Amino acid sequence: MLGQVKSCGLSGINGYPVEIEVDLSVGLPSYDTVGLPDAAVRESKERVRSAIINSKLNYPDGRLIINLAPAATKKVGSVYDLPIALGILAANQIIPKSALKDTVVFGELALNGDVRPVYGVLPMALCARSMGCKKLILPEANAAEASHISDIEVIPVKNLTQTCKFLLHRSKISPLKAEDWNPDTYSALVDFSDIKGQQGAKRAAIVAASGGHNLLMVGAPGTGKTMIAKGIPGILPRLTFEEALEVTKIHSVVNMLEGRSGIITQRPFRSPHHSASSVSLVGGSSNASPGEVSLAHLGVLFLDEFPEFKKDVMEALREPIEDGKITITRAAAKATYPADFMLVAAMNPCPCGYFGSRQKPCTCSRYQVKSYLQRISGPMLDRIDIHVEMSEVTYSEMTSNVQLETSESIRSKIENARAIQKNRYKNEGIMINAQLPPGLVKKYCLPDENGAKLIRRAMDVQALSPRAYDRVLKVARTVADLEGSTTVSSIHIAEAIQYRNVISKYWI
Amino acid sequence: MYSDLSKEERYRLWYDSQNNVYYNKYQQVLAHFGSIEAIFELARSKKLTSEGLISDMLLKKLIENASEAYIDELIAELIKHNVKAYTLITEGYPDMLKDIYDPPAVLYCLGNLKSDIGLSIAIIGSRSASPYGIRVARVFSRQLANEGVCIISGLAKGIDGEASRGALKSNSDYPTIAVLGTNILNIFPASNSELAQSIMERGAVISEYAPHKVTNRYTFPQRNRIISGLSNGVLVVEAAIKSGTNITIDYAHEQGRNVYSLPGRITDELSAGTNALIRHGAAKPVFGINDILEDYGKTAVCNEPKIMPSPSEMAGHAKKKSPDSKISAAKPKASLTHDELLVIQALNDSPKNFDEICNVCEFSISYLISVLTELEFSGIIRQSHGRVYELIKPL
Repeated sequence: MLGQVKSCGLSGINGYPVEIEVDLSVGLPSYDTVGLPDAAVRESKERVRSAIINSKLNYPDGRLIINLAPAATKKVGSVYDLPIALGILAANQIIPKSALKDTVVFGELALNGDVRPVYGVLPMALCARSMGCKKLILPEANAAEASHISDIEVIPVKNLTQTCKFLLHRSKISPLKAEDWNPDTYSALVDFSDIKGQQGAKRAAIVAASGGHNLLMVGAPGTGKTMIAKGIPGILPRLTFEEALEVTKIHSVVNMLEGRSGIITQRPFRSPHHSASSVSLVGGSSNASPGEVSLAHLGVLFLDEFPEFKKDVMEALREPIEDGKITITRAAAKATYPADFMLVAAMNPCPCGYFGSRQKPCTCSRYQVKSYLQRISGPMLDRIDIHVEMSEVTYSEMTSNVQLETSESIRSKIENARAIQKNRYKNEGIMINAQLPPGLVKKYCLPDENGAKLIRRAMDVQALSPRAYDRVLKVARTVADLEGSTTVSSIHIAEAIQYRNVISKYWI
Repeated sequence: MYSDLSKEERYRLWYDSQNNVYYNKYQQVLAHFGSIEAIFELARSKKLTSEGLISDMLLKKLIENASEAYIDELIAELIKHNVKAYTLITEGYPDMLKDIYDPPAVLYCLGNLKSDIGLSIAIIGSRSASPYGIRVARVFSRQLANEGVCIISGLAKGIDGEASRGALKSNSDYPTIAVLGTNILNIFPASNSELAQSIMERGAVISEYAPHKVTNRYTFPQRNRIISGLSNGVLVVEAAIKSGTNITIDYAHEQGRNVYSLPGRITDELSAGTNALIRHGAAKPVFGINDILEDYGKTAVCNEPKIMPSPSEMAGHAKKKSPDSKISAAKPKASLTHDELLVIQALNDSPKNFDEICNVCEFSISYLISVLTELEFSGIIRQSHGRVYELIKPL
């Protein structure tokens, strides 16, 4: 007898359909799994058998062959426990074949028949919908995540017995409906009104967030670089539902979803330690799993102690920064992950941290300072539009009770600025100023007469390089958008120039 | 200069090349043996003994290398690198140095060394100098050099280097001498090698260490006795309380040189040392180069540093038209806006960082940034590390 169950597998952050066929024939009792199962899939044999028996259901005597189609793709993980069990029960004619029609099943089984959660549910559920299935049977703990997908009934199940009763129409399980989409802001970290002093750096962070520009903060230890970085997700525009799904997909495949809603409502904030390897940052390993750059997709990738990162790690970042995605190729797997993040880097100006400080003398030699700074390559600096130096905070500033602007109100300004940008670039296929290619900079960022004069003066006085020229115009465009101005005038250019002169102070 | 070397001079070069880099008993050795020539003859006949004055290692080396051919090679090497060598008895050895307790046995020199360098002032200070120190070092050394004073310094980064740079900007034909703590062919720090090159062209770079001699951290303080020894007076521009500069000052006092000190703000760490010198009466405070020159019976015409006028005065002056100012060249004072004057006012008493200006001026941040950019481009203020802005005072 034949039992057939539909399920899904994961390739990168996309699901693909997997058909599970169970053939029960007369013969000596045996159990074989074919279709490139990995160890976890092969071991499902024992879990499935125990679960069926412990659920007081009939485990067939005879020759069992389980085929996972497509047979040439490697199947991994424990998602196939539940569909295999249902396939066996169907082959054994305990549940009718018709009950499993248009239904996608996945879940891990415990030996007592309980259904345990799996990861990668959202992409698999999306795949189920694209397969044209109407019903999705999955572990209760994963149901919330899948429920955000429309046009498919999500049936959360607790154990094998309950699943069988449902399929036999002996009991009902009401499909889970998603909670209303309620984009949250980053509540857990830092509010901008809590950051005292550092007006200049905060302003730079706001400009960076408005245009999606990358940000580099240079300053002595304890000046609040980390605090500002942590505050940035809170001032970025709220995630839209589509963006949230995309972020959730990535977090889902690495089993990093937390919270009850099953969907990520906040912009990610990732801060890998500087000992990170390039694989952990951009992704990789034998199954081509996503790295920090992808986990930070649509959010903030914060690299504290930037020069302490290994050279190869920093250089590996260049491609995702440029392209907004990363393709990982390994012998056994290949995957493309989105990696459209805002890079926020923080660094001390020298190993001891006090180079140029007025409060504490620097104990580094000239050479040490130079070699420390040179760990950040020119091309890397070039990819960071906004550089800002931290001021040394005084005690009176730290303890002042002046009410500062909250992240909430800053965010609404930034959302306005982003809306202006989105509207302006609606025919260009980009969303924000940071994405402007050089050709379009001339089209959209041309300064007015006074602005042009100022930038010419800057080139004369400061030796602003032609390369920096485009960057200055882009950032000036963002500043203008933030102020709601249609033209880029000298005041905007003046501010943008200040975000480039850190290089000339330290690196040249 | 090597063709007419006397025998004794040749042997002195030879002895110096064998000797180690530390303080040695050169004068005692000379007194005991009568001359270095005597040592050479003893060494050549392998009869040289230590006499409690020559270390075993040196003794071994002296005996090993006691040959005329070896000396010829030494001299060839000096000629190859264009290095001049002055022993204590060579003509051209600075007279000032002969008076000190332990004059260098040989001075190696790139450029031109004179036995009478005239009035000379050492300008020394911290390696991590503040903008204030750098400015004063430059201006004072240029003004002093214009009065014919030779500036002595150590070529270190910070004050020393700036002093040399300032002196080179003068029209003096013998503006400056730099004394190295490394051997004469090893310019340290390498970042100042270009500066050293320009010093050689008009003055001299000297060292008591022969080419290829390995120096170390202890040779730098040892070198300081030459800096003070070559000078009539030593001006300390900036120094923390604990500073290598103190070593030079101690030498200067020992050698009976005048010590001058530049007063600074009492809150500045880098002025703590100079202010302490003044407080203890160990140095004469210097407000302009005439404070130095008067001790040697000279006066300069214009020496007092100009003090930055207050912003209101600047605006007022502008109407009266003051012709010769850097600022007016960059931007007419009259065109300074009220807000720009406010920022200048805020910076008048001390440099401030961005946040501090922000607190004083209470403009919106983006506006303040643009005002600062404008002032910066106009050459009125400048930005240094830590986003600190300061007025460029026309000194």
